[in-house]
Amino acid sequence: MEFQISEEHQLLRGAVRQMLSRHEHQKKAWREMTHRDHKFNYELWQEFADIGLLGALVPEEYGGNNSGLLALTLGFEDICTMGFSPSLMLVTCMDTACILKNGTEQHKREIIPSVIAGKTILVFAITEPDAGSNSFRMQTVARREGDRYVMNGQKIFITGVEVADYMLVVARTTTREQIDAKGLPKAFGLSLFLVDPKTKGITKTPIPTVATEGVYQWQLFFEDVEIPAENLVGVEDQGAMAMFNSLNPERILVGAICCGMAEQAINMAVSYAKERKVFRETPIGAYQGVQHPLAEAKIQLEAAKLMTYRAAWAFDQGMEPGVVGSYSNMAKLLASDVALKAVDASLETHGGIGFAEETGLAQLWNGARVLKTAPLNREMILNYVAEQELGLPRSY
Amino acid sequence: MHIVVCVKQVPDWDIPPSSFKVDEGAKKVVPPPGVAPVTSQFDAIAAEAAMKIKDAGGDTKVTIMSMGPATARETIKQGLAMGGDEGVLISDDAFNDIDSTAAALVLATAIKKLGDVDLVLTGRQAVDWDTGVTGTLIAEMIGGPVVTFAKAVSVADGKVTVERVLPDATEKVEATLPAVVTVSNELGEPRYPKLPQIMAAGKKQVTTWTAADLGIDAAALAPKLTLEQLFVPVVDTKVEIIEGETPEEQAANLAKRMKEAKLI
Ligand SMILES: Cc1cc2nc3c(=O)[nH]c(=O)nc-3n(C[C@H](O)[C@H](O)[C@H](O)COP(=O)(O)OP(=O)(O)OC[C@H]3O[C@@H](n4cnc5c(N)ncnc54)[C@H](O)[C@@H]3O)c2cc1C
Repeated sequence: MEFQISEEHQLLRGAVRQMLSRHEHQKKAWREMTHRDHKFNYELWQEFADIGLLGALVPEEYGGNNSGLLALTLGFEDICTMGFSPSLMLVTCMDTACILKNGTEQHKREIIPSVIAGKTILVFAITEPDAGSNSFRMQTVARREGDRYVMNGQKIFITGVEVADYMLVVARTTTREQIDAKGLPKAFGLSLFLVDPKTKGITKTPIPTVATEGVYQWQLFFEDVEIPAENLVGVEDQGAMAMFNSLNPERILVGAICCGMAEQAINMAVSYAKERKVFRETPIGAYQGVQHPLAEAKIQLEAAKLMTYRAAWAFDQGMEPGVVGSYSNMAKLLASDVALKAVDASLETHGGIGFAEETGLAQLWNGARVLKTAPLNREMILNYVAEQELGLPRSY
Repeated sequence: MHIVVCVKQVPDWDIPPSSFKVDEGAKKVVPPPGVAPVTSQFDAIAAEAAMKIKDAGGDTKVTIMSMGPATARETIKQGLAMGGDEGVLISDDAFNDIDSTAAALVLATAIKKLGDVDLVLTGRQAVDWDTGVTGTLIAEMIGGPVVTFAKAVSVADGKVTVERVLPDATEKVEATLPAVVTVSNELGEPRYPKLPQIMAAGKKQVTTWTAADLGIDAAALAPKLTLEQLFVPVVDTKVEIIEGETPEEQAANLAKRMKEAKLI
C-alpha cells in the first residue's frame, strides 16, 4: 500500500501555498469583504483559475490539466488550512464533473474552457422547500415545448446565484403523478438543465444566512422560464443517476474543506497555547486539559484526511460510483465531525479572544457547523452507510 | 543556449525560531520534525532568472541541477515545473556534509560532464549555511567569469549582461560566455508552477549521477574548512519605555539614552 503523496501533488501543494502566501496581507480585508459585506472575491477566483484548479478535473482536449480530484482535494485542503476559502469552486467543480460526464460536445466546448479560465461561474440548484434531504419530492417541472423547455416551480438555499453565469437546475420532466400512475421507479423523471439566472421569469430573493462567504443564499421562483432544449445536460428523465454521480466529488471536496478548517483551527490553538500564560510563567499549552482535546482532534484529522484522499483516489481511478459514494460519504461525515471538534477545542484554548472577530474562529465555527448539515446532513449519511454498507433495512 | 541552474534543498527557513535546534555535540542542525525541506530561496530566484531568459525567446534549454540526498529530487522537480527542461540529481553518500569548495567541485565536474553549458546560475547564497561562495568557486573551476548579486540577467550575442546590486547603486556588467551568475532577491519573486506545468514536469527526465559517474574520488572532497563550534546565540531582548511630556522631550530623552548605551 502506497501512503506517499506523489511528486506532482507535492508540487501542487507548494504552488497553492506560495500563491496564497502572496495574498496573506489581504486576508483580513478579504475576510471582512466576504463575511461582512457578502461580496464575492473575484481576485482570488482568478488566482484559482490561473493556477489551474478550475481545470483539474478537465481532460486536456477541453483545455484542462487533468490532474484529477485528488489534486483538487489537496488544493482545497491547503486553501482552508491557510485560512482562505475555495468559495464557489466547490459547486463549480462539481458541475464541471457533471457536464463532462453527461453534457453534449457543445457544452464541453463552449462552457468548460470558460470555466477553466475563471470567466464562467456555475452553481447548483436542487433543494426545494419540500425537497431537501429527500430530493425525489421535488416539484419544479420542465415541460418540453418544441425547441425549448418551460420551467415552473421554486428552489431554495441556492448559493451564489448573484455571481453565477449558469445554474445547473434539477427539475422534473415527468411528474410524480405520472410516475405513480405508470409504476415507474422513483428515481425516474428528473433532468438537469443549464439555466442562465438572468433568464426572464426567474424571481430571486436573497435569504440572509450566516456561514456563507462572499455569496448569498437565494430563493428562486420559476414562472414559465424558457430554456433552450440544447441546455438539457444528459438524457431526459435520467438526471438522477447523472446528478448523484457528481455529488461524490462534492462530498469529497467538502471533506477536504473540513480537514483544512480543522488543521487551521489546531494550528491557531497550538501557537496561542505556546504563548498564552495564565498562571505564573507556564504557557497554557503545558496543561493536559488543553493538550488532549487538540491531540485528539489531530489524530482524528489524520484519519479524516486518509479517508478523504482515498475517496478522491477512488474517483480518479474510475471506480464504481457506488464504491466512491460510500468512501465519499464516510469521509465527509468524519471530516465534518473533526472540523467541529477542532474548532471547538481551538475556541476553548483561546478563551474569550476566540470569539473576537479578528481571530476568525467564530466564523470558522459557523463554517464548520453548516457542513455538518449541508450539502448532506449527518443523519442521511448514517442512513446510507447503515443501508449500503451494513445491509440494514431502510428506516424511512 | 544551455543554462544550468544550481538549486539546493535546505531545511524550511520559514519556521518559528523556537523550532530551530542544533546538536552542538555533532555540530549539526536538527531538521524540524514534520517540516518538509524546501528549495533555498535564492536558488528559486536563480531558476526564475533562467525562466525569464527562456521567456525572452531563442532556443534555450534549462537544466536544473542539485547535489543532495534523494529528496533533492523534489527541488529539481520544482524547477522543472517552473519551466526547466531536464534535471540532474547528484547524490552519493560521499557528498554528505562536504564543505563549499568540495560542493563546487562536484557541481563544476557535473557541469563539465554536460559539456555544452553556456551559463550557470546559482543563488547568491544558500539559506542554510549562508557561505555565499559556491557560485564563485564553480566559475573558477569551469574557467569562466563570475558576476555576483544579479538583479537582472539577459543574454545576447554570446554575452551575458547583468545588473548587479551594490549597497547604494546598481552596476551593469557584461561578461563573455560561458559564465556564472549568482542571483539576488532583488530580481523578484520566483514564479510558482501552475497545474499544467506541474503535470508536464512529471514526465520530464531527472538523471542521477554518483561520485563514480563523475569520476570524483573521496580524497578530492577533503574539507578545507573546519567547523569549530555550532550554537544558537542567546538573544536577550529588553524593553525600555522612554518617558517625556511632549514628543520633543521624548525624542531628547531617547537620544540621551541611546548615547549612554553607546548606540549612537
Ligand atoms: C449554507 C447552505 C448552502 C446551501 N447551498 C445549496 C445550494 O447551493 N444548492 C442547493 O440545491 N441546496 C443548497 N443548500 C440546501 C441543503 O442542501 C439542504 O439544506 C440540505 O439538503 C437539507 O435539506 P433541508 O434543509 O430541507 O432539511 P430537511 O430535509 O428538512 O431535513 C431536516 C433534518 O431532518 C433530519 N432528517 C431528515 N430526513 C431524515 C432521515 N431519513 N433520517 C434521519 N434524520 C432525517 C436531518 O437531521 C435533517 O438535518 C444549502 C444549505 C445551506 C444551509
